Amino acid sequence: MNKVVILIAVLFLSALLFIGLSSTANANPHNILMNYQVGRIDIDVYFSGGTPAQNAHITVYKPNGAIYLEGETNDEGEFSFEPTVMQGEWKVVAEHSGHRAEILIGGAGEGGTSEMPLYITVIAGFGYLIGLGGAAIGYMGWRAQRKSESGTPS
Amino acid sequence: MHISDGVLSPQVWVSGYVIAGALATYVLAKKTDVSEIPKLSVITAAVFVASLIHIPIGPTSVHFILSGLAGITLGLSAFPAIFVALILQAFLFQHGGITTIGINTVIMGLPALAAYGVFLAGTRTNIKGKYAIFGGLAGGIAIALGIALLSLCLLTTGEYLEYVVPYVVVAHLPVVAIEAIVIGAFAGFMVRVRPQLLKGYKLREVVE
Repeated sequence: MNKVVILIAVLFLSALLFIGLSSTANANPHNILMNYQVGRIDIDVYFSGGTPAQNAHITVYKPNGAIYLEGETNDEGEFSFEPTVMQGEWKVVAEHSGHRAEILIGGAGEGGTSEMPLYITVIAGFGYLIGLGGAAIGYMGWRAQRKSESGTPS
Repeated sequence: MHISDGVLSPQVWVSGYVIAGALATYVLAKKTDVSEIPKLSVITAAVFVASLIHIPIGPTSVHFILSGLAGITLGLSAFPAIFVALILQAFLFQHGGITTIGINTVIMGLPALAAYGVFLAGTRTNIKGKYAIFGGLAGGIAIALGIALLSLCLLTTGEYLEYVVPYVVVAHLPVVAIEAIVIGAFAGFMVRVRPQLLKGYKLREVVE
């Protein structure tokens, strides 16, 4: 009789232990649990100067390099997608009438490409080219001076 | 009108470099007049600055090109001038691609040469106001030809005509009109105040 009781008790305790081990996280009231859900990634596509690039062709590449999805920006130049995992870098490529931009998304927060202010670009470019012209004028002056010096009787 | 890196197939952009390199070398070997360089610099600067100013038109954004202006003022030298402007834009300001400098030069430079041809032919006629008329025509044709070349390049990438027509052709039509008017007015004005700036002008000619 005692043996039967002991056997039943052992089986009962074994069953309890099995149940307890197989569902530790849910059964233990002292643990704090955390989950996260990856939200949408919003992309803005625009031309230099800030005009939204409507209907730009978008290709989203997964971190392993495979194409995840393709689509087009809306009238505001916006495009959104929901990534499946956040490990690795996602690549988004936007193309519009021969223009192309790409961005890697992997870290937290915001990111993107930026452009130099237009006035700096204009002044710098104009300066370089006028500088080239100035150098040519300087060279011409130097050549004319040499010519006049060599032509002057000593 | 600047195609970025990664859009075209290597065959297309390599061909662009070959054509642009050959044409620029031919022009520079043919005429290397140092006294022309200051004028060349100023016009190149104008082309450079004009193409940085973007105008939103409908669903896209376009910019001025002034390849016609380069053609009527620099003649054949317009081609290497545009080459220089595009190299500066690509390397210093990341405007346009680096692999595509050659093909972009062809897209903008060949129309500049065509504009020169049109203007030169026009100045040999006896039409009243020929400088303004053919200047404007040259300016408009240069952009139209540029659009055609750009569209052709994009079609080689597998882009559909339904996409290229509204976003490239139609979007640039206002630029054709604006540049035709501006360059026509420029040529009409220059022939009165400083005609030597225009190619095809002959000093013996009586200014209308």
